[in-house]
Amino acid sequence: MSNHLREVRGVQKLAEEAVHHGSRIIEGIQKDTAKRTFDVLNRVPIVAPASRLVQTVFDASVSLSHTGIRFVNKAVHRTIDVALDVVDAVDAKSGSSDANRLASDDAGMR
Amino acid sequence: MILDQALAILNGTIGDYLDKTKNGLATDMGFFEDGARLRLDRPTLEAHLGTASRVVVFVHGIMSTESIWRFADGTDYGENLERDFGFASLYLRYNTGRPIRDNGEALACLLDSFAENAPNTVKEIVLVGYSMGGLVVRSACAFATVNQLGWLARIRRILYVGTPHGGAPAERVGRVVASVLGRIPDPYTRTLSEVGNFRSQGIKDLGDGDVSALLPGVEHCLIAGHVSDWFGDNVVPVDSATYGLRGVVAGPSAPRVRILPRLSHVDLAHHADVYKEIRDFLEQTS
Repeated sequence: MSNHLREVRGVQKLAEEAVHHGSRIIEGIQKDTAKRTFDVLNRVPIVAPASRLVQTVFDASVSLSHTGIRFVNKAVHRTIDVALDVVDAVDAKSGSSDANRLASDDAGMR
Repeated sequence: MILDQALAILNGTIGDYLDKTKNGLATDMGFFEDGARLRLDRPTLEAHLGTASRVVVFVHGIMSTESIWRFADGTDYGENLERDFGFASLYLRYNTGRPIRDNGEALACLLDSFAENAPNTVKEIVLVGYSMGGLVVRSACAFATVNQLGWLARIRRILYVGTPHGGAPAERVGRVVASVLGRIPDPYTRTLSEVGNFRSQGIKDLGDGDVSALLPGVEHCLIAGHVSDWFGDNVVPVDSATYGLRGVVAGPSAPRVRILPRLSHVDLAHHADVYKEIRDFLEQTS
């Protein structure tokens, strides 16, 4: 694999991991921030049952959204992976055919 | 050049993570010349070193490459040493985000390969470490001592330029700030703390430096910059860069300590005053 392609793969991998970890961090922040409000509401007996239900739905929807983001992220990067594999294979093939051509030219000259 | 610099900064910031996740952006340690990796086989080394009997190895600091040694006129300490003393130069490039100890071990192994394949004319290897590079050099020597690596016998002189032997206070401040933020029960500050703690192990290691003994039986030269009494060269305090030897009445075999006024940390990597000290040290100890 060429240095250039290795770096492109590195950037791609880093971007994937950044989105993955970033999504996890934001998911945590969103749930933690909402938890403060729900903690207050959960102490009020009259709204507590409804509040707990809303909190469960909220947490589930946040998790679902972020799982979706991470899934799409993964899918996009797998696609890029396949595309880079193709580029790599084409590179390797053209490299070896170039080498063969040079070798036959060399033999011809001799 | 700009890409190399960007990769150096990335490696310094999260290089241990890149290494752990086998990311292609992680820099593999090696000697570089004109931006290209130098192979350590006999023909390449013979061509590179010529008939030089002394080789000087330059080890850069955090978030940089060997280009940090370049003067404005395009020369560097190595070229000047070649002109003045006939030294051959090797410039190390490495992932500065890895733990200093790991880089030290890798450097020791690299020098072992070098010593194995270098022409027999090479009798001495001089090590020059700038900033973190000085700690990597010390770590390499410690590893070579324990593992009895052959190249150590060729080391007679080591220079440390702006090396935080006693640690860098800025990193210790960062450590405290991250710890305080982590204790505040707030999701945002806790996240800030986590992001802060994501900095590389290489950076974290700089906070403690290395206060173990310098390699015995070798001449050491410690060069420090002094911009202010409190902050030394603005990054490394003078006491840290001089291994606590400032003002100590020293005997003939004690490390040589030089404090250069008005030189900041970055200046130390490429400054005529520093070169003068390097030249004097090598001249007087040859």
